[in-house]
Amino acid sequence: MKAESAAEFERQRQLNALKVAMRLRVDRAIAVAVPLVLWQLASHWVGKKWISSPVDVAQRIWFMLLDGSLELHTWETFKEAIIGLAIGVVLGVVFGIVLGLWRRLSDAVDPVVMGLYSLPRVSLAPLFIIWLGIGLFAKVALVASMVVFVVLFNVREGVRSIDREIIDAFRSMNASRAAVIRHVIVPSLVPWLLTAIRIGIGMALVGAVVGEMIGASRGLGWYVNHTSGVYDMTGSITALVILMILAMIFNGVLALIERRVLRWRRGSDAWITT
Amino acid sequence: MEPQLGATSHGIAATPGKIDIRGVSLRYPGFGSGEGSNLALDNVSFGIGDGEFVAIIGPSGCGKSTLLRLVSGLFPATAGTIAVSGQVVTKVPPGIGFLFQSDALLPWKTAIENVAIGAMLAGKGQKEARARAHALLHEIGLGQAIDRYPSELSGGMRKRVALSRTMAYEPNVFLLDEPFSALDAQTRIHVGNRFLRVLERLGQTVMFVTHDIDEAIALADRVVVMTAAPGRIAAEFPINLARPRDYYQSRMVPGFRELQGQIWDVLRREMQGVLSREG
Ligand SMILES: Nc1ncnc2c1ncn2[C@@H]1O[C@H](COP(=O)(O)OP(=O)(O)OP(=O)(O)O)[C@@H](O)[C@H]1O
Ligand SMILES: [Mg+2]
Repeated sequence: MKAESAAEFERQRQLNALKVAMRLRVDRAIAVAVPLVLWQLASHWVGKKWISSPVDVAQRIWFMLLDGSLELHTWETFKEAIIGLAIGVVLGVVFGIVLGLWRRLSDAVDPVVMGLYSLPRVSLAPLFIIWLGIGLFAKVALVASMVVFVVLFNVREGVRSIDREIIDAFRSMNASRAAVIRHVIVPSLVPWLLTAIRIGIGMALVGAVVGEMIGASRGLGWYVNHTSGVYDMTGSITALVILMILAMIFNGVLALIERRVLRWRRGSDAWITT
Repeated sequence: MEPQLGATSHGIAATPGKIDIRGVSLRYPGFGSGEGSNLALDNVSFGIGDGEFVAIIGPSGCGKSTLLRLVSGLFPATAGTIAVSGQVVTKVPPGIGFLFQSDALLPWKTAIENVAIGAMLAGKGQKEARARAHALLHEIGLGQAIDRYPSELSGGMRKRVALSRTMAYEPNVFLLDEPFSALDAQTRIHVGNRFLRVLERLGQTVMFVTHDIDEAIALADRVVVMTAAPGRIAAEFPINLARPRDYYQSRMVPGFRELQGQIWDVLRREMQGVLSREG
């Protein structure tokens, strides 16, 4: 009797979870469909000349897929963003750990770091192009320069907020330095790093696109520039849509990683947010 | 056999000199300029024999946790020396099992993984460590929770996981900072008794911080009462209670109440000092 009701309870719970998951799918489909329909309608009133239309954009994507330009431009922008992001993350982690551990150095360089951070990095783009040419490297450098700070600040904060008691507990069991780093320090930094990467993804795309707008011969940023120059609204908006899809893919992959790596948080706040 | 207060023989032999604390003071760095403002310990001296169980009681903030940290070699004393097993403590001595007041578990590891780390740091292989962790968690009543993360455990459960981790490390000196404080009365008796059995079998040395006078008398060979901050030794009470003891039954022994009263008198005096100073 008791066991039966427990099984029944469990069945109900799973059914509920399924329902919630289905409802989310439907909600999200609506959240995409409604703006598309409105846009299509608006394009009739306002004129395709100004805002293009979903149908035209879909068509353009199809044409670009056929003539290979979709791959050419997307791949270029993707490369710039991902390589720049990777370099920015690595540098940010290294600087963040050093500054997190070395208080005195951190205090000394803080005004300069803040100054550099507040400097609109976009203004560096022309310099990077002069130094590194209009190819991949200038954009990678620009992306890295934008990402590095957010990673640095997060990792530094992460290092400082590591639970001293846990480290002491390990030290009291005569754990080696390597064991402390592996079991305590690295895992404590992971959530901070993931947050930094989440913010960094948006910045990386901005960096890549801005770099391409200032000087490039391909890439989605270049495509926006090129098409808007000839009043090809469909072309510009198509590039934006592709950028958006790119960002969504980046974020989706990150969310998958987060769910795997941050499983241990499920008891604390996971249930509040879902 | 009925345990009797005042009985001379107890299973745990008190050969002197496992832990030797001599004239130890500690001043925390930082704010506070007035004399004694950030002085946590003031000239503390006492010894703990090999296999002896000493309970430490004192008002909150009197430096009990600080004293345990010093003995474990996590940081050096401002003045005085501490020796463990005859070696002056300059770094963390081997075989110390420190249970922190906070549970200090890794939030990203499950209960069993947290406990296994204790065994692994003691040099056990992964498989053996896990088996040991499994057994310890079952013994302490957490068989159902071995695969849960700390965020999914109650405070008392976390404390028991932390205690299991300390046991898994197989120390010969236990430094326990309020190990049973988060447990309900029944669990406390169960865990207390399990702990007593292990100790009475292996005879490790124990320094045990608690706020519970009854618990201190029931467990310890000696109760050390500390003064309000900065901590000094206010009084010491030898507890001549036969072993093996029972965490709960020991309290029924004649003489227990008088001892409790004496300790409470000292403690109350110290606490009053703190309260009137702050009020
Ligand atoms: N890291 C620290 N920095 C500065 N002061 C500290 C630090 N840790 C503890 N203290 C101070 O030292 C004194 C003793 O602290 P301690 O934690 O040893 O007390 P306690 O006896 O364990 O108290 P409780 O029973 O509340 O746990 C307190 O006044 C506290 O404010
Ligand atoms: Mg304490």
